Amino acid sequence: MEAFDYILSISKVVLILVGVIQVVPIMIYVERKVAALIQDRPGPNRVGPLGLFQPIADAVKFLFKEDPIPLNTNRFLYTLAPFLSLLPACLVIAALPIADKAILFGREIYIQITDLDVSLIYILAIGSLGVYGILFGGWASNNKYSLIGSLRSASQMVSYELPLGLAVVGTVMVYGTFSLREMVLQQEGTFLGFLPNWGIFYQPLGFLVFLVASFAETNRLPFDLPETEAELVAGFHTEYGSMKFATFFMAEYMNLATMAGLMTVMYFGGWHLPWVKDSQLLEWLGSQNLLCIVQIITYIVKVAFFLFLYVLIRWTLPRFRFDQLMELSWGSLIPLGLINILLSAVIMYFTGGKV
Amino acid sequence: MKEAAFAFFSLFTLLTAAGVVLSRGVVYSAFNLVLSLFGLAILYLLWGASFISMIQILIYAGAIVVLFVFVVMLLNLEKPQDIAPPWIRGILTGVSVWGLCFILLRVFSRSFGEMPSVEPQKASVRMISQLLFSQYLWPFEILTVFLLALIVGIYMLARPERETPHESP
Amino acid sequence: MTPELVLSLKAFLPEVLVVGFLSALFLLDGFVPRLRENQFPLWWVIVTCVAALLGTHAVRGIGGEHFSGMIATSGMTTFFRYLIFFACGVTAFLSLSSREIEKRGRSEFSILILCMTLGMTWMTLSNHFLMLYIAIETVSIISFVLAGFSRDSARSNEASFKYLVYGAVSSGIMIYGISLVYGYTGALNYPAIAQALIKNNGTHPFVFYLALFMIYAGFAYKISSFPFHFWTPDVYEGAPTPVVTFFSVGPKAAGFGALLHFILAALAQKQETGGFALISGIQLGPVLAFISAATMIVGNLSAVAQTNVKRMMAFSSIAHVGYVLMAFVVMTPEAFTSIVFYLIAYCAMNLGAFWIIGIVADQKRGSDLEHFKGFGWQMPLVGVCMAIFLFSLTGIPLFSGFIGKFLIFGALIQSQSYLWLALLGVLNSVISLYYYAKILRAMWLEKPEGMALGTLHLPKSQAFGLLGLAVPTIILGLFFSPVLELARQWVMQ
Repeated sequence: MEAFDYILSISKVVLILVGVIQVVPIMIYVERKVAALIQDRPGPNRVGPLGLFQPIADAVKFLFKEDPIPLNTNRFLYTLAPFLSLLPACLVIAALPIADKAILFGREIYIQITDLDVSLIYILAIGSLGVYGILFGGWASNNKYSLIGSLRSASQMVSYELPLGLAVVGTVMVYGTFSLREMVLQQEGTFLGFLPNWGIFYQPLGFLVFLVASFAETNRLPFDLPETEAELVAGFHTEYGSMKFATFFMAEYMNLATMAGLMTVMYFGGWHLPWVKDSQLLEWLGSQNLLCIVQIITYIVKVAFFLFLYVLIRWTLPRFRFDQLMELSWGSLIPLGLINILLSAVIMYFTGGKV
Repeated sequence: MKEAAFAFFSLFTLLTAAGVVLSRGVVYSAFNLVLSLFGLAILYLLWGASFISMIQILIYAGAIVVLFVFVVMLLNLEKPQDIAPPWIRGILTGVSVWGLCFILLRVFSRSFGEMPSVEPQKASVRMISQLLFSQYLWPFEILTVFLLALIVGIYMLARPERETPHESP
Repeated sequence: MTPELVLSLKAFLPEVLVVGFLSALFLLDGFVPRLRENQFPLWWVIVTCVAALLGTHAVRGIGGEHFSGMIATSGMTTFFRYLIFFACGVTAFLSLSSREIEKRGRSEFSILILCMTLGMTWMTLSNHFLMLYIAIETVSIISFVLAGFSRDSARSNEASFKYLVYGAVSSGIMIYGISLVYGYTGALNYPAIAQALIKNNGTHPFVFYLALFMIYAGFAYKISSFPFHFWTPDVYEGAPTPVVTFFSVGPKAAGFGALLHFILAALAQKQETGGFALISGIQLGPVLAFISAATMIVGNLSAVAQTNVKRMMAFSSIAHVGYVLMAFVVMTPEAFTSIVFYLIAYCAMNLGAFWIIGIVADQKRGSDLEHFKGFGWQMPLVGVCMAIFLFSLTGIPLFSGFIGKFLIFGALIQSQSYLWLALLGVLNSVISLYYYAKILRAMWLEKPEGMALGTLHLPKSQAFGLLGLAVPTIILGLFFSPVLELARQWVMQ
């Protein structure tokens, strides 16, 4: 590998990682503003016009707050836990395709950090490692409520990994590949003449299962029993202050961004505009790089839509009780996922290959 | 380059695996277990088995050890009892373990000279699935019976005690 | 469906039948709750076993490899199938009236026993290490659950846990050995391994022997032979007696079948004379002789000091494994025939002995020697049957056990080697008389405590079953030639 490839890889990593981290402050603001809108109150409006600098204020607050470490805890694990949570959240981004190709410096550069041939499993695998941060965080806090919160959260996350995986198997069957880039490439154009050729029309049931499971995987309402204010103070991050707490939050929002990204890539066409093929756009626009920018913007718009959806649902629906939550996963989502696989297989068999 | 990576990650895996046994505190052992399984997954990756490596992380490091950690935390087994073993037992154990290691090393370093060398191929998912459904179909299907028995067995072991006798299910 | 797939499925007919019945039981159990808590599931198991026996009889001629080399059927595997299905049926039958299997666990017990039976037949059929490992794990893991079946008994939980730990360690060692053999020969299929070994022509690196020993670790754990037998007394003592009955016959027979299949297919070649000779360079004799001797000695000597009958019988089963391993040392056709006959005899008498122990445990709520006091006078039929089984286990003439031992020792003597092993076997049989006689003395020569004579009741069906095992034990001791012929035929195929 030449030096150029090294520099390219490193700069891709930096750019994309920093780009995704930007989601965190944006989400902080959006969450609170949308919550306010739903609850018919102004929301943050002190700091900057329309409260737009609220995230900066939050960041400053986190930086200057005291960073407590409780007595009688396992200091190593206590300090390690937030980073155990953040690390998988950052690693997962490596496999998400953001746009197709850009032509810079005379080469084609794929706008994603890397394209493994097992990208999808990579995302599931690394995502499942995110449980450890929560487990060790709750345990090392030397606090019964934290422990209960973390165990609840971990069991919830493990239970919902299964429907997540099953829904994903459906798309793998339809597109015949684990590589996310290939999946997006197959989603251009139209389907049945009038619908965009997106995954959701091939796998509606799978999409539903994936959507619900992704809520549970990221500990968002209506599945946020591990963090309920009413019951467990703040669940597994009760004993964490300032930057460690902020790290947990960053991890959660980045997971959110990843899930939203996965959903757009698998079910909503990734970087494709609806109904329009890339080649048509290329003719119309003229330059590959311009096309690339259009693709990036499309991707961001789609991800933003999903993030907005997450926030909307958080402030609309009441919370699940823990046994309802487990019942939903094992009793409803997993059978639905399995039925999805069965149906997809049957339909694929009778239409000879792809749908 | 590849050898260096192999050496590093093998060492990593072995050290963390030793850490599982030697750690003070069960949660540290579980953590070391995760790291050693992760190291194994990276070793698989170095040999081109990308699918297996990801599955290893997904299932072993991501689900099985999570359940280990669950149990450890629920049972609150943090401080192991420091029973100091009598020194004679320590000596015997040390001698036998080191002796075994020595023997194994000598045996391995001499024996495998004539081995056929296999080029690691890139095991694509397609290849694995083709094998799974043709040559290894039978064990694949048989495992379903095994898993069925497993589920029944787990249910038997974990079902709640009934206080009142003879309620129909 | 390719024709070979069809043939393979045909060869697999008994197991397919079992799977079918198993699924039916599962569904019935789930949707017709009325059937759960009476004896229906156990009767279903008995019906399944009968069907499987018929199926085995139907496909007994099909030999060769199936399922792309994963399993191989032969006369020996037919025999083991008969044996294992029979053992399963008898276990189900004796669990009908056992108090140790709680009523509401009956259907799970039935399902688990059927799955374990399947696992055991797969063990003997497997022709590929992957298949072998899956089968061994199936049997092991279901055994862990079955050993811990009485959840409110601390002993049962302890038994299950010990079994689990030993099983995990020995499975780990075994699979390490398998991976080493794979590295050395480049194949996991038994015949392919044999080919690779033949090519290496006489000198094999030491690591190969090490790997063989590690693989033996897995087998030794299942059959409870010398270095890996330590789990047996605790598990046999703690697990519910019907489960122990199954353990003492099933996994042992399956383990022997698997070991035999492995040695014959991977490490030996069929000779023109009909026997098998180990591939040149592989010397199993001395090691196996040592293991056999050690197993016998450990089993018999440890049994002498026991006061709990289940533990004593556990050690006695270890000793019997030692006797059978003797025949593995020389690999003549007579030796294999003797193994087959011995296993038939052993199956009947061990099932019977544990059955009776189960009856005593039910009636007297315990299985120490005190609980056996005077039991012979309280239930004469049971006492007589126990005497038959125990004399047969010792190897006293007139019973099938004697014929079995005679055949094994005879095979050793005929091959003119390891005569010391045969002598050791005879000595051990004499030692075993002591502790078997202890049980009989308690049953017949001592007064019962607490209960009057003749007040205990046994269901008629159980009595018939016991007789069904005891009578052939005597008959086999006298008219053994037909069965011997059958055994010879099985070995030849």
